[in-house]
Amino acid sequence: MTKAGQAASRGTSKVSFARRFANWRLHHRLARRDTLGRMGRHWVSTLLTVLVMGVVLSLPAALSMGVLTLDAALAEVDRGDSITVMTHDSVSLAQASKLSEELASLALVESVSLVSKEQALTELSQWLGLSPEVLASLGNPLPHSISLRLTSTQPEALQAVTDQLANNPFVADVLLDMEWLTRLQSIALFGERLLWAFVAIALLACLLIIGNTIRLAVENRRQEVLVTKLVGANNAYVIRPFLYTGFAYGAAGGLVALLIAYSVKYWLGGPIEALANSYQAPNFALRFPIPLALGLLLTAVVLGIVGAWVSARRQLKLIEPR
Amino acid sequence: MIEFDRVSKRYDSGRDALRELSLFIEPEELVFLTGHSGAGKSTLLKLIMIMERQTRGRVIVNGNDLQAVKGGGIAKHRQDIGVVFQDHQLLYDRSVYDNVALPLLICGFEHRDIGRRVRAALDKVGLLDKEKSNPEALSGGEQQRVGIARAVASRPKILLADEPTGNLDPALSAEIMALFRAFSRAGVTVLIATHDLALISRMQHRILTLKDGALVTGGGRD
Repeated sequence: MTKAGQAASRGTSKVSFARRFANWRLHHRLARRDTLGRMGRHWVSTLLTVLVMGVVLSLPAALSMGVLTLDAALAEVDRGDSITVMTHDSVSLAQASKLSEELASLALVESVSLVSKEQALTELSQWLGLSPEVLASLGNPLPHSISLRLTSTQPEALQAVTDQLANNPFVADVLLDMEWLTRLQSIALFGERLLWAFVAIALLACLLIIGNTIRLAVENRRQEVLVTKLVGANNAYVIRPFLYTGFAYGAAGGLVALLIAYSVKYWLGGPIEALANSYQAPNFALRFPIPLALGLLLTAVVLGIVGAWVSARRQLKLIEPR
Repeated sequence: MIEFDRVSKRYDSGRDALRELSLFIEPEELVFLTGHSGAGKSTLLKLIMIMERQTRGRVIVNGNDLQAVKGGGIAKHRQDIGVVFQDHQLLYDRSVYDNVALPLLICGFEHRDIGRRVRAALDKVGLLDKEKSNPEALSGGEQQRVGIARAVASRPKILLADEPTGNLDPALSAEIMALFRAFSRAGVTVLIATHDLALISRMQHRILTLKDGALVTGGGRD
């Protein structure tokens, strides 16, 4: 018997791996062709589904752009000194100056500025409208003070530096403006959570839209699915075209969402730039970085495939033998 | 080879479609299955196709106990069986050729092989000149023959037919039956469910008669 004859007589269950792989690729090619042809024939409903997905996905995209922009704005605003250190009365100016140098070398500290007790008295007298001599004659009760600006505004970082300072023998008191920082953190956290809530809602909506679309597609093709199964197709073969449909919907919907997001960015870009210039904050602009765009596209594709898979599986379960 | 060993099937609705049914069909045999509608003919065919599962008893096809056939095994099992439906079940979004090629494509035949087998099957049912047509453009008898070509294209060991002549006039019905007889002579186990008693009584093959889900005649290994 020839090799080909032997292969044929062994039947379909024991064909070579190469043959099976070629076959698998053929099935994929056919599924892709089938999907594209079908979407082209029903282009109105395809277009509508893609647009709905795109609009829904553009909501989290636009919102994340808003939050990223807000973060940037907060970073611009966040210029205040975070910690003020007061020295003991007995500490001399030279000692205070040495302390400020020490503090400047700490990892978390970005910059320091030393205000001597004489400078502080001058400032106070100006503020009170009295001559410094008069105040000085009463004895200067003010300490030397060192203002620190930290590299981080995280409350944890502030606490760490504060603890370190409290143990220093020169230091009488440490003042830190925790309250407004906490508020700022809360606002940022609120914005972030709001973003995630919207993202979750929009993603759920996409999953439902694709799931429902595929469910309708499977129901419309119920007869075909049934016949295909009866002539020996496994579930993978039957599901494949639906997965490609989900992939196509996801990718096209994601691209529409990106188009909307970039249009919004372009449209708002002018006013934002004018605003930034008026505040002399040239770095302040709408942010929609490439990784975010790619992430959005990837998410849309994954949603499309998952929605199609879940929906098609469920429909196939209904025609399983019982 | 098809064997039923005291098989019962009760549907979720509570209806008993088959009751303690036993039968044996030899390889290369052609057997008719008859009975009034609702007697259990379709259920019997569905059990062989694993479209339904029996409630009790054993169904053995080509030496495999079907109770043990699950998941991907069901698809493999169906690849060894050709089915002809009363309402053809053709796909109208593709040509006659593509309809007949579908099971071959699924089984993983090579491209050239598919072309050869499709044309051989269409030739057998006399529709070689219609391979590019849409099934919708064909008459009822022609559509049924496309269905038969699809069922035999992969040369299955078993051929099942559910009322294959249900909507056809006597002359066409006789033609179709002659086709089935030819397949059985070529070594295929053929099981045909039909209520066309006038036609099958002339053909001198074993007749299984079902009544209320039980076998009245023709069950044993005679």
